[in-house]
Amino acid sequence: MNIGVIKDNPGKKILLMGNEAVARGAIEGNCQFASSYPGTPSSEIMETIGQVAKDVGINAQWSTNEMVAIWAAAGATYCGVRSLCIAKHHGVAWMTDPLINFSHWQIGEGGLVLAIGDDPGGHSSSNEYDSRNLAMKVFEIPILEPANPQEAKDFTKEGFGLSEKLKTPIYIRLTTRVCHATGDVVLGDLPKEKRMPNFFPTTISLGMEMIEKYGWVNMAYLHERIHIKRLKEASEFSNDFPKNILKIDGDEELGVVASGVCRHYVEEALSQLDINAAFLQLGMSFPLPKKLVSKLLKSVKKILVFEETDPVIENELRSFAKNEAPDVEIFGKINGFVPVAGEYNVNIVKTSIAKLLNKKITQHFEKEDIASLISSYSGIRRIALCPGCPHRASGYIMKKAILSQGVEFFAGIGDIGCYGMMGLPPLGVFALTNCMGGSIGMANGIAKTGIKEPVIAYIGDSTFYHAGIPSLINATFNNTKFTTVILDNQGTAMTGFQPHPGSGYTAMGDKTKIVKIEDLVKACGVEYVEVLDPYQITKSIEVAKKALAYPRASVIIFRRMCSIEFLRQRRKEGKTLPKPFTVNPSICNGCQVCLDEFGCPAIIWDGKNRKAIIDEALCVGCGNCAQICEVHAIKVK
Amino acid sequence: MKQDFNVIVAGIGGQGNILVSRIIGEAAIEFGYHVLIGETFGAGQRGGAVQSHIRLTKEKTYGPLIPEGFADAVIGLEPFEALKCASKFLKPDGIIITNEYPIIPSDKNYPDFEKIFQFLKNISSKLYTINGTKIALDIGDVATLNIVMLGAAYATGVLPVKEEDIKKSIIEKLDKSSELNLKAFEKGKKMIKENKR
Repeated sequence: MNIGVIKDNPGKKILLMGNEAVARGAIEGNCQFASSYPGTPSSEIMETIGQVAKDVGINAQWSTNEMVAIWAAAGATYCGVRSLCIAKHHGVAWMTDPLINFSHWQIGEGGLVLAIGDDPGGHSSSNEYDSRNLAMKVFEIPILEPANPQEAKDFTKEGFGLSEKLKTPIYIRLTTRVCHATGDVVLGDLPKEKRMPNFFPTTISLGMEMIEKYGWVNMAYLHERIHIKRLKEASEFSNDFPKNILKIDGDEELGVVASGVCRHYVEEALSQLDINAAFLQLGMSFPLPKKLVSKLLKSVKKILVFEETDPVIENELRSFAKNEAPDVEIFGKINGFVPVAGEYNVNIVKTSIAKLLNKKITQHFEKEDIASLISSYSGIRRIALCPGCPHRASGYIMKKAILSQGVEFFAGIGDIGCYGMMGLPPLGVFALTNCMGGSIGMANGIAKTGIKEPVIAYIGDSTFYHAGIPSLINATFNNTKFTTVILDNQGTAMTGFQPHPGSGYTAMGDKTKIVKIEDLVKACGVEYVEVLDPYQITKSIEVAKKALAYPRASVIIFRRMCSIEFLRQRRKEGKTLPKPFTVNPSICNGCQVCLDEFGCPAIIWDGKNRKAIIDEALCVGCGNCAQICEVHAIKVK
Repeated sequence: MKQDFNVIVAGIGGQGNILVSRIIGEAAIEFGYHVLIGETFGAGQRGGAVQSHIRLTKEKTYGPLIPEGFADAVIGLEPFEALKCASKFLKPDGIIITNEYPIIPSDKNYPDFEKIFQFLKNISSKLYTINGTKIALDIGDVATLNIVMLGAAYATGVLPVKEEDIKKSIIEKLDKSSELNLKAFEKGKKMIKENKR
């Protein structure tokens, strides 16, 4: 835990990760409620707040999903307290219907800040969509784009006041390079007094007002006032926002516009290129600061825009420039001048500026023989489940059980989590994934097409609580036969092992009732439910066979703690770690079952001696390979 | 104060390079630097290539990633990752400190070991190597490898930080296992001396 976030030491400079800085910003901004569902790159915001929540008077929670999180966060604003809701970009899609309504109908007296982690390049996501499109076009709410941890803190803090002034949620659009950047942050003052909660929503009185006037609620009026009032006021604020900065001398031909972390890339590229260009930095990207943009358009001949990942600012700029300065040439993603997708970096920015100015640049070149060696081994660090991962055993069990049915093909569907890797060789138990909850969801349709092959949906514990339950009820409701495999590693593992309703404790570390997955499954109307330990491989294969043969919807729950978390807890408690396993070379017959069917990264093929060997630096001592070795060559060291 | 300084810790997910970067970052703040640390990730949390880019600047903050050819030093937790990183990011006169112990994929598809070190040497004459993994295993926990390598890097004198600030940060961050890790730091510091290639 980074205790720095609660230090009452204004002016002190400390090292904070962007996500921790958002947490500090919420504390400085007198936030009293915070909710989130874990998602990389923004997970550590709630982790940090949860750890210090009691010290700073914030009521913090991991919610079951982002839709619940935004309802809860906005709910708190109707009691007059300031509230923070955190998610990654995928989570914003879950918030869409509530947020449109909160936008049109207005939030409560307390400010509402959304801290959203977009993931340009999709480092830890199933796509890299730009959630600013939703914020700007669908929710129609102001967007702030911090470039570094200091701004992440400052913008979050300022967001609450702005939210209360404009009576709208404020969208803090973070990206992976801001969330996961760690930098020095100067701390601000901590609030002295908490607000007393008072339930006073204006929704019904607003509705009654309109009913008296129009006979019914005038939805067009609700929408219209966003444009004639909120966005106008926000536009004024944007002109004066201290991190909307125009650096201009008046004699530059080129103007560069950038938001978020791209602002740093532009600064560094310009200093490396040693050229004179006007530079409009946008800390607040929606609404655009029209006065600054006008000044830029009047002065330069060409404008180059850098933003991740969609041309959100560029589009606004183009439509504004069409009337204001039709002769200024604008370069960006829309005319294909800069990459239309993916993350940017100093090099991309530098090369693009140089290309526009026909300027030669010196690049760093790798030595040819070294680069060639590296590129021929570039794919060796393949994505893989960790040594000891219970999902590997679960996948192995399911594959054995499925193939024992005498089928060659099966319809396996995966979901969002570490277990996504069960779809890859050598396990390969599914061939399709979508988004949170999509496995059981799609199985509902696949199983009804009349295909002969077994249909199996794989879903994680946290994902099941998040989005699996309605789809499982749907299966019972519509008499649909398929098998659901719930992979319960007792936490939200992929994002850093945050608690979920089955963990027994909350984001603040309070003990709480465990909502058992098997109870939920039964309550969904499923008759066949078995809870198994995936480390008991042979026994589990037999039970899985029965589940697959069951004539109606069946569920298997594989329960075993994430091996990384298990080791982390052992280390933390100062307990001894399980001993690694080793292969007895005189017994190993070189069959490669442990490599080709199980695929633990700790097992290595010694081609010279035609034996498997175990890397003791990687082995975590789960012993699963000893169970599957057909000649019993593997023993504890 | 010294000049702006860029260093990258290159390794495999799970080797603890992010912790090392934070320890260096905190010690650098004490020295008056602006700090910005970024990460690059390969596939997955564990087992993929991970780099931590540490940027120490005097005046202004830049973006969290070091541009190609701008690193003053590379600390390798794994030799092939050190080579990949140094080839792309190291300045012509930069320094390399790397663990010798390779993490070899299951299919043994891994470059020739001697070639890696020969190429590392071609990139920089300032090359230091130790078997940090073996040292960590001897200490009693392979997880201390990162701190062994931090000790080694510190001993070369390249890091613009004070030893007492590093140790303070290790104690703060590693709590119960800090004793073991301080031992790892000392061991790395001592071992590197005889190991300039």
